[in-house]
Amino acid sequence: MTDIRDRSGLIARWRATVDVLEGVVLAAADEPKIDTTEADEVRRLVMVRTARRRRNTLPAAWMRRPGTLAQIVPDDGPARGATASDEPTPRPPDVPARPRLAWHE
Amino acid sequence: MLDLMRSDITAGAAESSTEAVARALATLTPSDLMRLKRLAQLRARLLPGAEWDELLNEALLRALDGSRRWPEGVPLLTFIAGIMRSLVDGRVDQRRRLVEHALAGSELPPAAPADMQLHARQCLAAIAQFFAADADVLALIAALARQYLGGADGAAPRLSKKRREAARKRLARAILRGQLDGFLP
Repeated sequence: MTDIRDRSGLIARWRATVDVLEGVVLAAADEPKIDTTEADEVRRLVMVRTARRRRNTLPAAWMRRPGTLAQIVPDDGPARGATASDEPTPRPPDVPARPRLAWHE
Repeated sequence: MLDLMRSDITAGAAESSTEAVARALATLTPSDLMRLKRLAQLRARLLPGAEWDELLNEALLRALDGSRRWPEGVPLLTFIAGIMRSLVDGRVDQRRRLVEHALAGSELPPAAPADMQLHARQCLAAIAQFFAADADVLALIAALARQYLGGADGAAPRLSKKRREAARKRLARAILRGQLDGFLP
């Protein structure tokens, strides 16, 4: 992608140089001297990305759907939309504070 | 190593590209992983401030979410390198458009962003300095770059095939060992 507005041609030349260097890396027959720290760093990156993909491609049946948990374990209060009338749900009477246990004193 | 071709990995035509990519990535050797890092480092150098790991991460994401399909017969590293190239090209384009937009009201002629030109100048100078003692490598880079730019391979007659191959090996070694990357701004 040579930019005609890159009048000095520097950006185009640098891009072509990077293409050259990339080609050399891809075509290099020699095994590079392995720095295991660097290789591990890249492997970690690859593994994280691959793991995320696995999580995202789980069958739909394995995914928790919104509301599923509420059906199994209902909330303490009345469920939303459970009452047919538009009247606001009456507030529960104030629960009196429990007396402090003697051993707290 | 580089013969990790799609056709070697796929069990059948029905297998998706993303599944093939995931499986191929899992089989990369430490040598492949190093190459992947060097490719990302080189490509990220085109954009001042870009980080190689972010670029590689984004390329992997595109390969694994299926937005880029892995063509048959293309080595995995070439495929990932191609995604990184198009990502960087896209960002370069985006920056240029921003500059053009900013200059739309002014009378100045449109130009490439100044920071990119300066960065390109510094990188080219750094390469010239790094290989200052190796004229063959510099001639090889210049000749190949001219080919990429659509010109003739002017330096080819000066280098014999043997010297050319030797220069290519020295250049590859310098890149793969990370020496060149440490020298670039």
